[in-house]
Amino acid sequence: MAPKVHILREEKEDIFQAVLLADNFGYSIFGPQWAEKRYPNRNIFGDDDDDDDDDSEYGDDKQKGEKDITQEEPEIDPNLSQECLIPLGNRKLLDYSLEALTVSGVQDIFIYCSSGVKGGTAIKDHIRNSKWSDLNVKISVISSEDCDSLGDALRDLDAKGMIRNDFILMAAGVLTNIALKPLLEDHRKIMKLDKGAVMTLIHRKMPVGHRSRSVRDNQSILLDHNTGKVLAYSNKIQDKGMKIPTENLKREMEVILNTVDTGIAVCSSSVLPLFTDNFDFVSIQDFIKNILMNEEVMGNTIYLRQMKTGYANRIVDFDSFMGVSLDVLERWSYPLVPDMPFGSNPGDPVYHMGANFVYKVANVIASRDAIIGPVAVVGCETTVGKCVTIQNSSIGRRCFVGQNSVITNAQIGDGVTIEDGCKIDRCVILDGACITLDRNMPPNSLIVGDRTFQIQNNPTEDDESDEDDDDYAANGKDNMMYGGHQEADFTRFSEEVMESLHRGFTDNVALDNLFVEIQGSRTANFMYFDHATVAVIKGILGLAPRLYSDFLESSLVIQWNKTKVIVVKYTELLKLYVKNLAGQESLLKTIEEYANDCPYFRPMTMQLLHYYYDEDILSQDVIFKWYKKESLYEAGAEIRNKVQKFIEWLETASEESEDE
Amino acid sequence: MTTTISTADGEKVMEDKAYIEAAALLQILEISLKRGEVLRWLKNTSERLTNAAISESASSNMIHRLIKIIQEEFAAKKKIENSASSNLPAHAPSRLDSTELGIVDFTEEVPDLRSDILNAILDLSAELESSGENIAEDAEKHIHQQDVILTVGKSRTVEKFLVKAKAKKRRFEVIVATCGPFYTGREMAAQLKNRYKIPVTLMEDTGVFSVMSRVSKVIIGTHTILANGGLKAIAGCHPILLAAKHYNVPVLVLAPIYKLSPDYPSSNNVKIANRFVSPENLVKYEDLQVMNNAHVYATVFDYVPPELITLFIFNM
Repeated sequence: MAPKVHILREEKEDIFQAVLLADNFGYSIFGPQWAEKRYPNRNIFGDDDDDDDDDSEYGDDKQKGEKDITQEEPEIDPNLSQECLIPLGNRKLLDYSLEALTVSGVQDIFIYCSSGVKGGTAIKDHIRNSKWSDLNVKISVISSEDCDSLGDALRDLDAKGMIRNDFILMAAGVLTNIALKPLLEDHRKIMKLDKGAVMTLIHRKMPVGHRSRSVRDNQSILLDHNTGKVLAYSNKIQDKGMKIPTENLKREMEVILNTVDTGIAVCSSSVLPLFTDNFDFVSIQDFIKNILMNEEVMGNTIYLRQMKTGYANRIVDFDSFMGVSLDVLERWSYPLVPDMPFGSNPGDPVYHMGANFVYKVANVIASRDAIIGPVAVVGCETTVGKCVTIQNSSIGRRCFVGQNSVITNAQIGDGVTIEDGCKIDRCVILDGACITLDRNMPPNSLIVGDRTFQIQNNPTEDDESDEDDDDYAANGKDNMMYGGHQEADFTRFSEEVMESLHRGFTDNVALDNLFVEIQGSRTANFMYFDHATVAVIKGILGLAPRLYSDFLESSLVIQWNKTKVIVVKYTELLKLYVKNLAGQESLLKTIEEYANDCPYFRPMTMQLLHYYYDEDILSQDVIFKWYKKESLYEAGAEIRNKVQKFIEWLETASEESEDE
Repeated sequence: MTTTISTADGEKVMEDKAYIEAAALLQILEISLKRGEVLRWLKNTSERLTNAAISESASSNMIHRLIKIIQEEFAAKKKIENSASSNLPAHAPSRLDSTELGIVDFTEEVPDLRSDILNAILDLSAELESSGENIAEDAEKHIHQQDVILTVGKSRTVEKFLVKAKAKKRRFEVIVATCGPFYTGREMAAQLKNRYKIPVTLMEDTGVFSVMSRVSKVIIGTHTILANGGLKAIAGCHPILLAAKHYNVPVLVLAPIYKLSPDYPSSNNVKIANRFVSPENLVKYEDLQVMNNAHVYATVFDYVPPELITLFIFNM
């Protein structure tokens, strides 16, 4: 047995592991149509590849036509089927993520590729042909045919049992220069304080409207300011306020709107089993939602770290792709910039940055008339003709750009030929394409070989409707409570409250415990806080007849004395419910309603109001307001009559105090 | 073998960086020397390192020195072995980039060369470690009572130098220029003030001219000393040294020997390339106004021409 234990310990040894998703599971940077095209047999929302593929959207007009074509030729260039192999700057998107991981000292990287063996092979080939293969880092590519979501991928990884430690989960298309090891260490510190901490989400501060921020990627998050614990999480910007369960209120909270999810999450080793246990988790959003909703039951918590410095961003759609590519060329992501030789082989030529962020390499033949820059990358053995303008763009290796062409905001792969006089704006051109003058090149296009796909970027209406129920908070049940209740539920709840009060009175239960008990049954019955207030008041008033069988027959004085004992006992409890003006109004309304229903009580109303006034539960103004307001109840006038003396007394008292 | 010396952390302290690089390199060399064809391997490595971090020269400087040492050792051995061919002077005038030690066939086998080279590496490594202290030995000769010293950014060598002077009971005052984009001067000032109780004034490098008349010496570190005697130093140095020239304030440059580089400053020579880091230290990434309308350059180095420098202090 001894050696076995030893082996176990060795495996537990702190290997820094990371999971890098190669695609975004049916959610393509180029839009859902693209994902559909890639997986003609699959349901779009089920299985988008998420990670790295960049640009697969087609224009709406062209969609139908294109789809037909697709069906005829479902075979897609394997390079294309992997978003992570899209060109960005002078290398592939995957290289940036790998560099971020390896520089941070990750020793064991799993690249999860959902698009089957073909995609996996393309990635493997890429890794083999670049520096990554001879680094001292273990990179495993896992390809799966039938993996439809992030959830499936993580369950698969759990089944394979390759991840034993806390790990970094990196979505597709992530670029960052933030050191990941400290993030992992911070997460471990949190785990020491809070055993249930399963994940730390990494967000980067970035205001709405930032060029690199996707319009689709919005979150409103409520954090505990001191610990960074996520209290509530919503997948959209909340303009109408957020629902926060009262249990979650902390002294210092922070609402976060101006951040983006960087696609990096530090995960405890328990994350994978959690996915396995909950086979319905599809996305990370499901996971967050579920963890927050079941926080009380499961004891799991999620934390969020908001980065204010350093570069971290994730390409989720075409807009953010364009923004991020500019960030890279303008060096915000340093050292992930074109003139750093990461990912390339030792023999490869190194790019150098000149003025105006122009990156050039040996063997570029550029005409003297060509205007290259500001912000441009030109790869080696590329020829740039006369009077060409290249701006905010990168051009791969062995390309040819004909005379008078204008290239702006484009990412162009290797071996692309662009004929004279072409105008290219906001396009992504994959390796080996040929652009002729008569070819239709609208902005926002993805060009693959001889096909052009227009990228549709704004969120479709479908997306909007999906988001409506994306609101979740810790102890999410409380939100459901707001969803409207049934009369029957309220009656049951009132009955429970009455039971509690009854027992509390006879057994002399401490008020704190009673409060907790009532809160418990409130939550169980999905009741609002206001409902609880009403139920408690009615309970207090109705307790006397319930306690004493001869109550209704006894004299008014005895009735009041018995009622008053109960009222006095529960004064402090009531104060927990009646805290503000609205509470006071609700109290008065309930008393009136009760008096309306139970005629015996009407004579006592004045004494009760007087008592609550003396106890500062009711304020003068609210009483006046209530008194002057027309009653909704039959006996309203009678009740007002009964309390008239009290009102007069109040008026005199207030006048006197004013006189003074 | 790792060839990329990672530059991911943004080189807050250039000097430290260079030092660590050089030290790491020596370690690698010790291990790798088991291979044959040492010289060719060294040259290749030098090239690879230069390519990997184009703006860092310390490691390839170190390799050049090592190549030189090996060649000398080899030649010396040859000489003993075959005294007839004593056409080499025992100590040829040292040039870092010189490869001409007469026509020597380096492919010949020479006994015991390996252990000699290893010893040379150890010497080099020891020299590297003690370089800061060695330079600081001279501190009391250069810093006098009541001096006002101006320095730029943070430099370990300069810090040691000042601390040494303080330990020798010199009373002096230091003015530190902050120097973007990393503003390392702040760190330097805090260190001098809090840890060593030296009176310190911290100011922006752009405002240095106004105090230069009061300064009695400028003492700076550098990233590299180029072959013409100029410096590749922290950004902001050039204007400060021009101000020093205007007031005829002496400028002392403290440099361990591994900072000597055989490269000449020339705009086309990529080997002295500047480094452009993330503009984040100058402008916030969240600042939409700037992000959308301007390009921001964050340069790390300045070129300082040799005529602005009064004195170099080396460690040997």
